[in-house]
Amino acid sequence: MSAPKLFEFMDSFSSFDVTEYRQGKIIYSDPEKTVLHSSQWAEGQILELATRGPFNTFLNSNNRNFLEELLVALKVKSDPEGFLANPLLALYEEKPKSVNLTFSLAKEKDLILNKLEPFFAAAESATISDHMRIAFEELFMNAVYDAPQEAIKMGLEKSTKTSEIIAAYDQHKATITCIDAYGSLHIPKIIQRMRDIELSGTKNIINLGDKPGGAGIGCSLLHRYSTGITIAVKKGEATLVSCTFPLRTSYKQFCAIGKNLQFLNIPPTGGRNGK
Amino acid sequence: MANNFNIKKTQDTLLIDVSGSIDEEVTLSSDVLNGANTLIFDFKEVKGINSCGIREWIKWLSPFPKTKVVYRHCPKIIVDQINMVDGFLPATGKVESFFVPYYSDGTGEEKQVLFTLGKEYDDHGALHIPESVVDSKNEPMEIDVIESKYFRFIQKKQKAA
Repeated sequence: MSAPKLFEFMDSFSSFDVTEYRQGKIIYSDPEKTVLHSSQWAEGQILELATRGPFNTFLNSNNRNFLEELLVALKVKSDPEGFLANPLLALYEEKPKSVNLTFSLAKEKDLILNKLEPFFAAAESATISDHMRIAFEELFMNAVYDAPQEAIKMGLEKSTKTSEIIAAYDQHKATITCIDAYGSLHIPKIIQRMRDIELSGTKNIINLGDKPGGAGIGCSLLHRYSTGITIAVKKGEATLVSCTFPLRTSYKQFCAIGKNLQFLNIPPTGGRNGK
Repeated sequence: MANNFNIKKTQDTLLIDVSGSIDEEVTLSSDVLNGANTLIFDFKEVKGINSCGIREWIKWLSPFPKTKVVYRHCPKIIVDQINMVDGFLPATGKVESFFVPYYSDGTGEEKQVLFTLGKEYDDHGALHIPESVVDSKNEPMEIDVIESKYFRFIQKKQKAA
């Protein structure tokens, strides 16, 4: 990002705190308006901090696209509704190559997967393409099986709703975003589970019961195979999960990039429900 | 992507070629496994996996704790699950061969190199990493995994033994 552009965007987000994380010394006014960043996060430390609260935005400043990702985080924070309505506007500075695919049934997966293959190939790395495919698998399954089941458990709507997969890439990164119309994802539970698996493994976490749906380790797969996750939930109306991937990157470079994490609850308004 | 199992039987051994995706559509009948002493899974054509597929896989194999299980041609996405998910490779299981990604910084080329039990690694946790993996310009390529994590299952088996 050019210097003038950087100043321009920092100006427009002057009400936010972009604060470097130092052990025990975080100066902030409002956690909702704070972005924590560090180049020193240990593996799993972001999840540990996210579980503890009160912050919801964590960026690795050793990420080669740190400034771009900071801009994304600030755009998401400043306009969560806009992010939900059109995530690509926040995720990319300029219009990326993208595809928007809607689905409601499991049997539609093969068709969607075929349309996504060119986007996986855009990574120009077999390893990262595999990561993107796994993220899609997980997001799709969550939208078709887990989200409606959770909605029923929460006493929300029972009808089958349409979800969307939005795949996109520019010259720096690719994203796979899934938006469902259930709004049943419980963010603290997911973050806690990601943290527990990161620190203790899957043994005590994996759900081997007979109920259909996820095994409880899907969130961990998303965390492991992407460099950034953004989650936005509008209870009863929409859940958005977006995963970011680097392009033209070896696996070792991927591991060195460091993870970003952002999550937010958006007050329900009745907007997206029933889509 | 629909998963597919191509099963061949020889005496008390089942050779099962797995292709496509190990996902929520995975349809594995335990009846198939009854009577087999050895199950050999070939993962060469596996393209994807998700958490539901992992769960079904573990559940499918768990009623056969005494059956010898062999995993062959494991791509990285399968090795990752072996290392990260308890039970994905049963306690009686053995990895006969797996792919190791290599990367060339110079050209950006990738290569999948097959490591085979008895050649590049053994039952005692030892690794014999091939020295001469080169890209199209004959420049050396680097192993593209975090070795302490990727080869963990080899050492883990040794500890368990």
